[in-house]
Amino acid sequence: MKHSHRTVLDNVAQQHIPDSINLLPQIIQKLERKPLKQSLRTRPALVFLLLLLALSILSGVAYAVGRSLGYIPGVGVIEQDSPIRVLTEPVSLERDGIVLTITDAVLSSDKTTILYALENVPWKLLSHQEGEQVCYESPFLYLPDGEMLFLTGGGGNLQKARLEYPPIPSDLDQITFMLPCIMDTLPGAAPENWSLGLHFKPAPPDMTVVPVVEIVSSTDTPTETGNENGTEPKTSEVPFAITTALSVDDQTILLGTNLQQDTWLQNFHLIDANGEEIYAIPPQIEGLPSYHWGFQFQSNQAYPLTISFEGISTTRISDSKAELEFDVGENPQPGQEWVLNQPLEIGERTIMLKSIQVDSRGGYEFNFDGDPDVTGISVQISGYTALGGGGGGAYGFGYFSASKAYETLPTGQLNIVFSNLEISTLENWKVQWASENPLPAEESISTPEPEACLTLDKWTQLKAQDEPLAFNLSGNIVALVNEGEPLPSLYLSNPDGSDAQKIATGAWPSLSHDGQYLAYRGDDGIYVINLASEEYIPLGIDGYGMIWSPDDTRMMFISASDLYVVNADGSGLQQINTEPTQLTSSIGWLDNQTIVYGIMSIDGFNLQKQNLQSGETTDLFKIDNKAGYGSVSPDGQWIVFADRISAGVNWGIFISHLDGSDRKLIAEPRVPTAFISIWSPDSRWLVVNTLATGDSETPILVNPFTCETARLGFYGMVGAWGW
Amino acid sequence: MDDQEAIRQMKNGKISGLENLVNKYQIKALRAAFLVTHDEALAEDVVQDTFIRFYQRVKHFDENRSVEPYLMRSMVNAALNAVHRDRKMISLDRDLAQFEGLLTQATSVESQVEFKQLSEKILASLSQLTPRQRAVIVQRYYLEMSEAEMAQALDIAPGTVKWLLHAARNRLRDIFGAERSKK
Repeated sequence: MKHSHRTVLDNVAQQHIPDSINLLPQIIQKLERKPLKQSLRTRPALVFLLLLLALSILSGVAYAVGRSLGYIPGVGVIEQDSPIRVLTEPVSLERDGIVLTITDAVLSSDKTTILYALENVPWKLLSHQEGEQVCYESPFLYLPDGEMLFLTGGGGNLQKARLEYPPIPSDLDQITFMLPCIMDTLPGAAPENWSLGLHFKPAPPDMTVVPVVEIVSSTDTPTETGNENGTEPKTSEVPFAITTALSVDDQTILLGTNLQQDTWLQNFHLIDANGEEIYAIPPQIEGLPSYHWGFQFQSNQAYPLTISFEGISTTRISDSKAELEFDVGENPQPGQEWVLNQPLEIGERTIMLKSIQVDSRGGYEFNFDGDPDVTGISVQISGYTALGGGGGGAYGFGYFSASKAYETLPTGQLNIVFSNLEISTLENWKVQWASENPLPAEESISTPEPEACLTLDKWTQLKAQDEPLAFNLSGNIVALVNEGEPLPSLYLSNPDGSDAQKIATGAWPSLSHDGQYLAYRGDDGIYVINLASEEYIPLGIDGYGMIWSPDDTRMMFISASDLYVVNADGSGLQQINTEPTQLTSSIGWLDNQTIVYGIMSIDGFNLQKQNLQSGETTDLFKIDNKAGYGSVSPDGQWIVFADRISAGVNWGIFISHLDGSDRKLIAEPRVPTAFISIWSPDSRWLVVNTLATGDSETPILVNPFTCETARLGFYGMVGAWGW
Repeated sequence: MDDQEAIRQMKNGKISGLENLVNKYQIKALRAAFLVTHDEALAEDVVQDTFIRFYQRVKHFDENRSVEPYLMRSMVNAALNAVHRDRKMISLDRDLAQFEGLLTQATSVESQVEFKQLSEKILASLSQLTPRQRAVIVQRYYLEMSEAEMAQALDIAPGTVKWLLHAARNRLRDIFGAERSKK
């Protein structure tokens, strides 16, 4: 007897997975549970975040034009109608090594904002399994008269959060912050019932408050609405409205609401008066009024702007009706099906009743086909009262169903009545919007910065260029290109994008200095490719942010927030002790024994260097970007990083020496950039990854010392550059 | 009911389409998942979740595509993820020789007793491989996927598949060569 390999393996597995096994009951049972409810019950962290989101949507009150608003970085937009108060000084409490700190508080007439931080929560105290009972009680404020103020909004995570509460009476300068337990910890594992006394004082006169101007809007609605074919423009009501328009610094923020719950809005576009698409991003500042959708863009535009959304709207034709006589016999059986292919004229449309089937729940299912706009229908069997029903279909498929369940299955000759045809239409709504009082540029109070190498105007010019690269560049680059798959494709090419070849699917590429090896994160961990032999070596380690040592024998990387160093072949894994033990980021190597990394702090990332042999750690300087990304130049002299300009809304790209000196602005904040910029192997050039509308990245070459710039001739994010 | 009709039913919200697919593919999926995970309970979880996810996302599924390769691809990836959740650090044992020898031996044994003994050894030998290597072996020799299909299924470059199969290929060339050359 000769077995195939498949048969051998099937027999091997059969001894553990018999033919009699049936997963269907468990699958049906799982599907009948409500997944959202289950996930909420088992994931308290999600509950907290969803609560914040829901509160932010529900609790907002429309801002009235004429109020005095201000934006405090890190705190958000506040009303300035009455004097602002702040925390007298940060307060901390340490219990079992865990440190709770209220770093700041801002009391305004509309709300109380508390900034809190929690450090050194041991990993083992937190739940790491679904379904465990854990703490998820939110912190609250306790007033001297016994009143308790509960969370109304905010954002953040376990380690660092911005919490919003109702306003505190102006005559009250002392309250208590109460934290019943630490979110996500197992019962009794961590100290509970934390309380911290908070004292307030008038805000100092020099406190940074960026003026926020509420823009008087004029909208012209609807200017145009039409279906997907561009024919028969309709006058259906525009399902969204602008609720708030703010001018902060040189940015405009538009916030809006959805007016029709049944309409799902998608594919937003913002077009200027010249027909050019405007690059818009989600609002980047905290503490905004409630909104369903929101966008932030440069205020300096050609007005009026056109805002467009696509959406699927659904209507029911109430007077549509069709009838069918059909005999199912006296003893129809579950699963029995009659294929009819019967055309039905209803609501001036023709749909096809494909089949009727007896379902397993004591009812009938009616299956339809034929018209992609029709997504549902009501069905009744004359003389019978249904216990319930269901069905429906998705727009564009053309298939839909309707089902009815009965206490006793109707039998014999049936009079079936079809009504309430449901029609779905993909529509495109457009609204023109103009700002009547844009904030003049000279009113911006952002700290002036020197001219950047890459200004918005320069970037706009470069984006439009399509010329061969004028600079003679050496080495190879690796670009991440989004090709619609879960992980981007990694392309190895010359710096101008020529001779590109796809070498892997993954992220976090890092080329060795000699250009021989590429490390990247694949779908299940870190890989190293020998580019000469095309050997793919899985290191068996999960992580990201790999950076090669100058001699290419080791790599630093991050895994589960911790910093590691490992030999190039995956051996010699060494966790690096960092203090405090917060989220870390890998930045680079100064020499073969000295690494540079970032540690998350309350207001950014603190950069440090550490000698791997002695463990000696030295503080460098602080940067304010969300992830602590930065990169040391191969010669060890410079670091490139994204940082927030004082009181600004966006981030610029800077270089400086390792001690923070000789700081220079490379890309001004108005240029939309990714956090990660890449050095050339000779440390003379930078690739600044800029973002274009539609999620495609446009890498821009910048000489940080001469400010020469050029566009690299491809789309994608450059992730590595080596010899 | 063919697979296309099952997909149409699922898109209309009918569970009968899913029932049909589960009944048709669950044993193959379970055995493949078991060969990757080496854990019956984990394999059951993986396959249940694969079918549930498929049902929940079926509206995005192009019904002109074949269902089985898609399901098996999803299942193998889910099995790999499940194993990795349990073991973050994977030991690297790239010695496929023992497994290959046993697999080859088993293709021509006559005795059921001998076959059973070999089966146990094959399973033990499989357990010495990394989950990723097991996934490649399962896809190639159990699910009988082509190299290109495997590359797509694992979201990896064809070169990675080549590397993962390289050692096995060298040793199995003489034995399997005639059969592979037919493909």
